[in-house]
Amino acid sequence: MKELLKTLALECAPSGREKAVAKLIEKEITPYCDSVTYDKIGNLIAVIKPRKKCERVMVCAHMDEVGFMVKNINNEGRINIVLLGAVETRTLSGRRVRFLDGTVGVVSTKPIHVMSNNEEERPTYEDRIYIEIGAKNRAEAENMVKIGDFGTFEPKFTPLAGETYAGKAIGGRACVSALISLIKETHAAKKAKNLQKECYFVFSVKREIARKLFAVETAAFNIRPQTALVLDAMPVCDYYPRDEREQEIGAVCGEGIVLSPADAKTLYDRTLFASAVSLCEKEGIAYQYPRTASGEGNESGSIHKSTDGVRTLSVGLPARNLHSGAEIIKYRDLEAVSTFVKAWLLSNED
Amino acid sequence: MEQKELLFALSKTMSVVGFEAYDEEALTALFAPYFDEHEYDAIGNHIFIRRCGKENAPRVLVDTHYDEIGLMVKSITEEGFLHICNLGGVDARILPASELVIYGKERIPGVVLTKPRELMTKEEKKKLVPMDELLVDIGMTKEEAELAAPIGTPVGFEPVCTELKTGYLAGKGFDNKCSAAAVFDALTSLDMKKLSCDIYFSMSGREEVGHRAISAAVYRIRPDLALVLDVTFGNAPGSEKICSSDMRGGPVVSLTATLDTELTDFILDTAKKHGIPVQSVVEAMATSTHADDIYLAAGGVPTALISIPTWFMHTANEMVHPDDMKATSELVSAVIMDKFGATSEKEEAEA
Repeated sequence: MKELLKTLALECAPSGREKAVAKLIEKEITPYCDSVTYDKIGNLIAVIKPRKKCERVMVCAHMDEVGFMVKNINNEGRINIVLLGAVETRTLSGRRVRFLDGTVGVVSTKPIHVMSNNEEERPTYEDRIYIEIGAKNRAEAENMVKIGDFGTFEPKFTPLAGETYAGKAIGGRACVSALISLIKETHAAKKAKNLQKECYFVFSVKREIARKLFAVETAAFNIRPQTALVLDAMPVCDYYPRDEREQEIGAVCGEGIVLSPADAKTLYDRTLFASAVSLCEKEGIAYQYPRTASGEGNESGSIHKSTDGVRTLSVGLPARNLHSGAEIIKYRDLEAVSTFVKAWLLSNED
Repeated sequence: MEQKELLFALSKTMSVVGFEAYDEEALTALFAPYFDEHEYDAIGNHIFIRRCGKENAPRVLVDTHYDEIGLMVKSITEEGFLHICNLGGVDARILPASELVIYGKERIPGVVLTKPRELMTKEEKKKLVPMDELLVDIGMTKEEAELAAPIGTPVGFEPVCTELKTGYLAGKGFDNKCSAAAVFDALTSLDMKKLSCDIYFSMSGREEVGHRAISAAVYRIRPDLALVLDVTFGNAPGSEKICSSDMRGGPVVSLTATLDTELTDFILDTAKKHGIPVQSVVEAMATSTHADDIYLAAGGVPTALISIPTWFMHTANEMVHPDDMKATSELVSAVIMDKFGATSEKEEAEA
């Protein structure tokens, strides 16, 4: 899974331009699936089901990542952008970014020497930055970059000590790699005639730019699952400051999967939630709860309301620095996610 | 080695201010074969010498500071995160989610943590997290970190160098290693037999914390003339209120009351004579570079300042253009040739 994670994380897929990652996934899973198709808006849907009719379950993870689009190129050849998704703007200053065709640029920052005291104390906001590619003027810039082009943080995969990994989009791609690994196990279960669920695996698009509706909704509409499981990265802040206001620090990187009873968009199915907790207890899988009533929510927000309602569970992978050029995850958390989803989908006890 | 390759190789060497000896072997391997002598002094200056072989030849000092801005491990938290402090002028705004290298017994990768926006209060959103509150994740426990990256360990930006499609180069420590690469090219291309001067190339230390070491180098060398090369601000939005220069406009000669005006004029004339593109900038009373210090050191040295325009100074992605480096290199070698070359041939002929 580590090699796969690296390959996936180094590929670029800003919301709306997921094809490169989709192709990688498609190639990886096709030998294991009954069918692999794209729906009308680009969600990648893989199906493995037994002969007999049984419970329809959908498991999903999103393929896309935060990024940016070119909004304008000025006469000096500097590039103004609009961000795609909740990019942590204070991580942008002075960073390398990459357009999908490979053109590299650096996000502007004013030299500290020429800043007024007042400016020094303020973080950088989106409207004050531009991307420098070194073009002399607009015409030269337009040879490399066009208005509407997409880009992401520069792809990088940095192993830290203690099986910790850092890089752009690593939280989302880790969930994708867990889902791919689940597909392979599901295939094995089917071969051993142990599969007792109709399994629909969805690699969704445009999750990062969703405001109210998530693009995965169309997949849920077409699949009409009875039960859904959403894998996604969960932003954690287990490092800052544990003062009185924040006694409840919430989830911690390295301490297992995050099971949410509720977030800003979803009140999760109580039965599923309770059985997920007991499954963790039974299987010895490390689990934890998120910060009380926090979390901006995820694709569950659309899925649980789709068609005539879907029982939904969400499993979070703790990630530090989410939506930056150097997201951080612990491999043991990813293993916990992977172990959990396999046990959850493929155990046949009720 | 091409200037670009040399710059990238120099960028990879770790020279966080105060730790200029950390990669001494790598620096020596790069430079020493091209020089007659090499000295490393007590306070961080690397000095490479080329001799003309003539007795009592005048000594020319060409200075490019070798140190770069960086950070230092200040303390280690219960959870094993590192607190850092500034060595030189690192801007705290570029640090969140930055990739760093902690130069302990081994080179340890680390990432600066940033608080997710959704977990910030309204007040926190408006404020920059000051450097002393930033934490670095190296994936270790407190005990492991205390062994691998004890307090006082230097920390630098991850050395990644990139060539952009437009030819621009981006990377860490280009302030001032782009000057070093240009000067190296100039000095090693000189035919010393045709010159009547000894050349002292100082890759000096401790510049970024207030020019602490250069006077010692001057004291040791006692130069008769000095050229200082550093970086200067390239034109960019927001830099209008300071004097900035055009990128790809060639080396920038400082016009100032604080340095030797005759030498400055000579440099400008030489550029004109050889058709080397130059630009100039007015820094009336101080240049805030080693030039100011050298001029007044060890009894006084006629000194001038030439700078390479740079974008995003003091970040992990300082940007320079190779054309500016190349023109700088040509200018330095032309100045030395014109000042100390022709006369020597004449003298030899007379003798």
